[in-house]
Amino acid sequence: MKSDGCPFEEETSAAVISGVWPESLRAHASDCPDCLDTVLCGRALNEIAVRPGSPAESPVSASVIWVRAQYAETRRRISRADAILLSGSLGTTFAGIASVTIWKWEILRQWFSALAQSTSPYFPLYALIATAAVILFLFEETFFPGR
Amino acid sequence: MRVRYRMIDEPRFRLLYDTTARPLRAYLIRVTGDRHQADDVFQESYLRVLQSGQEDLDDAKLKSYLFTVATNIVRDHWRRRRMKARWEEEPAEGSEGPGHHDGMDVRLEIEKSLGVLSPQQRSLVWLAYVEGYRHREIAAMLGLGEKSVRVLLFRARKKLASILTLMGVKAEYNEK
Repeated sequence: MKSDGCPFEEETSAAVISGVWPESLRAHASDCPDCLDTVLCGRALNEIAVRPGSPAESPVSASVIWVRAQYAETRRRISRADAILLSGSLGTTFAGIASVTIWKWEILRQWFSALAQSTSPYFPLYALIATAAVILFLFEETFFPGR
Repeated sequence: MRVRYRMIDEPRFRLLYDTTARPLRAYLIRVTGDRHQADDVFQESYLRVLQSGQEDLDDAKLKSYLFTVATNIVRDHWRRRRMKARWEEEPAEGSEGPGHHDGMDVRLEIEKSLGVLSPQQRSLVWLAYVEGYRHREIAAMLGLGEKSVRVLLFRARKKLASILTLMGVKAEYNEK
């Protein structure tokens, strides 16, 4: 006998489950030690698989699983819509800033030149605060999730 | 490329559930040896199948897919928990294994015999001899080669048969 069993094992197994035994298979199985093992295991396992009062009653109904799946699907769609909205709003914000920059470039350039010539010692501090405020405004959800 | 998926419709899901709930739960209880874990995996399996978008599969393939998903979840549980006995390992001597000894004596003995096998071996013998899957199908379900399934199933069968024989269970033909 080979270490992977009899070549008729699948047929024997199918016969155990269906109860239909072709004569040739029955003759073979009664002489084949491996098929006898298959019959023994198959019969034993089917004995405990289907029986009155077996522990095969479903823990939840199909309706409950269906509703849970619908809920999960809805959540998935909402989070996808959220992601689309977030990317849209970020894109719009950056496009708006870019447009304003291009449109009012001359004024901005003069303003930056004036700032560069400023002698105020607090200029770096103002610049830092302004940058932080813009970042906080744009990415509020990241810094304060759930607000 | 993003693949759009559609959920299986409700009538089809109900049909799938009605035809598979009992065998799936019986399988999970025997493989996990724990009713609570089996129930968790049971629900999770249906949810994953519903969300998988496999609505084009025919009924037999969908059932096979359900058992594949369930087996993968059980195997993942085993690996995550890093239990003393791993998925492929056999339980220690004297271990009771799947514990629902609410049947008659012979059934009790069979349940005990099954408990001596590793979860993987339980899965193999159950899929082959109760669900009637062929080696090729089991190989696909467990992520193994067909040849490996034959060898592993052979060992599991030998072991189970020897224990059953020791317990006095005999091979009988069930002819219709």
